[in-house]
Amino acid sequence: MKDSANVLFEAENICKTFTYPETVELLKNISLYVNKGESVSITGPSGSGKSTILSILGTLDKADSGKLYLFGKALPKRNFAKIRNENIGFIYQNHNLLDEYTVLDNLLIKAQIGRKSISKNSESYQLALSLLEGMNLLHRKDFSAKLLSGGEKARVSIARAFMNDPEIILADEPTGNLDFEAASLVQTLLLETCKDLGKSLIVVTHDLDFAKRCSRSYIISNGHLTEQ
Amino acid sequence: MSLALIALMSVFVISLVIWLLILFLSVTEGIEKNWLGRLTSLNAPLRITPTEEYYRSYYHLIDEHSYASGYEKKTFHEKLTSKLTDPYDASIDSELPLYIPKPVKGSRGEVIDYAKEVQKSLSSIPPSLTEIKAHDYQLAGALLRLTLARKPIDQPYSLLPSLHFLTQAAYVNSIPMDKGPLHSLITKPEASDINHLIYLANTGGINSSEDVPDSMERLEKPLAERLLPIFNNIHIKSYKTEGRFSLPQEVIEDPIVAFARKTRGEIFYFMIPSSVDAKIPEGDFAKGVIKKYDDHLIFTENGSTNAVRVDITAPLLLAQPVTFSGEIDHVSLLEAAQLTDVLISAKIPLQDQMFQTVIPWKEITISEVEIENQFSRPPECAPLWAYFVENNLVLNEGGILLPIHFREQGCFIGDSGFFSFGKTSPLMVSEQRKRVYTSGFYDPGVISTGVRYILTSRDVVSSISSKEESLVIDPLIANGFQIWFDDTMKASEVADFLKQDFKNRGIDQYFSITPFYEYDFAKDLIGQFQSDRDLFMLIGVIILLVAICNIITLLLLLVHDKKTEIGIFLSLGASKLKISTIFALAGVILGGISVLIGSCLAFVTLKNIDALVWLLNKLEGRDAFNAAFYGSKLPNEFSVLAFTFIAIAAPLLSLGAGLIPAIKACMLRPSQILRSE
Repeated sequence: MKDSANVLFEAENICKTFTYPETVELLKNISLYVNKGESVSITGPSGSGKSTILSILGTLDKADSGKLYLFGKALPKRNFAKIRNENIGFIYQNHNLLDEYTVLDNLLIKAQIGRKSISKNSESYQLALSLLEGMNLLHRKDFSAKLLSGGEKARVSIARAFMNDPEIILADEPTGNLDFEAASLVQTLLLETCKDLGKSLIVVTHDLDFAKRCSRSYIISNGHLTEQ
Repeated sequence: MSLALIALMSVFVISLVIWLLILFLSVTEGIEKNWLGRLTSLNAPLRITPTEEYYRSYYHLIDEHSYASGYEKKTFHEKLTSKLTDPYDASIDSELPLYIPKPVKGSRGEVIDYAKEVQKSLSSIPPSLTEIKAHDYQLAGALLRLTLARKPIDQPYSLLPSLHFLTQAAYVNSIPMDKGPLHSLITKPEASDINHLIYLANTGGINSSEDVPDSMERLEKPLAERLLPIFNNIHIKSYKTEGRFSLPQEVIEDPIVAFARKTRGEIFYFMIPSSVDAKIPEGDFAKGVIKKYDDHLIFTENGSTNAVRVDITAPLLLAQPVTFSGEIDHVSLLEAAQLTDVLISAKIPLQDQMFQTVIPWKEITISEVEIENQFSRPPECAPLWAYFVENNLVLNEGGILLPIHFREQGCFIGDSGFFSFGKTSPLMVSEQRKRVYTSGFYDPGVISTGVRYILTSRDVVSSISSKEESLVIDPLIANGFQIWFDDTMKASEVADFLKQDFKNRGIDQYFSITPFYEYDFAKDLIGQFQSDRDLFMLIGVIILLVAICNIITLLLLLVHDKKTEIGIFLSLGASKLKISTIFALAGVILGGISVLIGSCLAFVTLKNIDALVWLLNKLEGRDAFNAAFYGSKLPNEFSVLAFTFIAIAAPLLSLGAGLIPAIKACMLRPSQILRSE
């Protein structure tokens, strides 16, 4: 249920058309919202535009039209970098970790980009340690990211998304590459961490069970988004 | 790994280009500086010459009508040394013709002395602007005719020289005798000059010329007097034997290897090789060993047991010229009636032995010699060449300094001749001659007229220019002032100062002030220098651009290689500006490192340029750099201008090179990169 006073993030009348290699109107006047602390799933067939809508919500891509609101305020038309750094955490199917960096550095880099202190006594450093502990990865903090298993990488990716204390986590098929057991663990960790830290979550997934575990679900089909 | 290798290659290539650029620009700048230095040493960076207005002025014309001036026009030198500014005395001198203007008078009614005003103006140049040295010069035109008396090659023992003549229409320029930049152009006499002077003193070859200055006309004097001005002012380090040098037989104590020249079984002379294993020369020679006995020589041919007795007088000619050291016996020099009376205590190295003997000066030349031309006080016996006492130049009477090109034409110090000048009338040419001899050579640089400038004392120039019509010299440049200062680049500032000062003194219409870059003969050369430099800079920038394309390639590859990382950084909140700055900076850093390496390499190379020249000479098998063009030594001063140009241009171009990949990085779509991975 939309509770206007509690809406954290909202997209209104988003349209996106791709013109190459052929013109495809992928998103047609899509609107969605997520309340503070709420988890929302978006499901739909492949190529329906799930990831595209997530990229637009995460300001990595631009919509042809439509507006985005954070805490009821429209996002500016430029300088999204700061918003991404402070308010949004991304989780990807292939984790997108910096392989040459250690696990801990993969977390701290986000703080560093935001010009925050990453010294051992800093808030960011302590947050990184506690997130790794929460993901049961503290013992791996000095490992190079490329040496981790798929499940571990997924957990590091989740931990990194929570760095800088963002308001919303955007997850694109976070368990797509994992076996059932690992996927279940990651889903639980993600949902529980969001719940524990009071963060909102929008997750794009093919996994209907995972979608069901979210507070609300949207389905995208033929460019239209429908809430279930 | 491959990217690091490409980065290293890029740095290497750009460093190489920068090294080459700095090296070439430094060397060309040095050459230009040398040329400009020589140009402004000979012609001064600034020249003050009288205008036509001056030649029409009362101040100039009045001398011809005044008894006090001997009814002759005066040069600036005479004007400066004259006590009278206005020599005209109406009570003695006849009435002035109407074309003579009225004298220009100063505020106190005195006739303005233009020459002295120029002198005052020159002294008023503030030292803060520059320290100057001024000289009132005289330039005359004359035909130089030199007689080159040489030892006849086909008649080595003849006292009669073979004669050649050298004729050149020349500008005869007065050289300041006190210390000045012109002195730096004078080259030191060489061993060949000394050998020539000794030959002339011995044979009287100089007298074969119909005109020889008194200072050189010495055949009447004893030989010692002719030789002492030479020998008293040199220190001979080594001698060299000539073709028919004969070793005294008494030096043979131990057996030595010799080639016996036999005709019909009889030995006429021996050839003594430098080394024992020398090959037999062509002809009827037999190799063997000679030994000296009391009054004869014994020759034993190799492979033979028969010894041949040879007369002690059989000449022992050296098969190859030999360089040896020795001391002249001074007593023999003082008593010598002919050169062969001069004795040398010689140490002759032959066949790994040192032969000590006293030999006469016959078939001997000086190989290496130290020649005195700097004296702290006047020498007791003045040398025949141009020399310096403290800082003052001394030229013997009739002595002239020829451009160094004359040396290439076979001239030596001592060659004498005359300046021919005179008056041409419709009926005949009245020729006058001033006898001169070559006192030395100077380097005029590369100006086209340099080969025609002959430097000499003011007396010689005066004696030519006092005759009304010698070789035609533009009167506007025949007499004037030359002003030297160290920093030639200040020529324009000094000229401006003098122009204003001349105006204040009311003499500006009588003189024109010309900086060196406006000299007719220098304009083209200076313009050429400028064009060459601009062209080379352009070529340099193009080469640099090509080299910097490496950076573009490298960074584009880097963007492609790191696009996932770029996407991750963007998703984590890095701005596109930050990402592009990284690549632009990478370009600047690569450029900066290259500048540093290239500059250091250039600095080291310039410091060791002689080694590089040696290597190039070796590779080419000849002198890689013509001394006439590049100077005796390649300049090796690090060009600050070139370095500044490179230090600014290279990082800027690198930044430009970095911007292309930076833009490419900005255009990446993180949503696509991160999803597609």
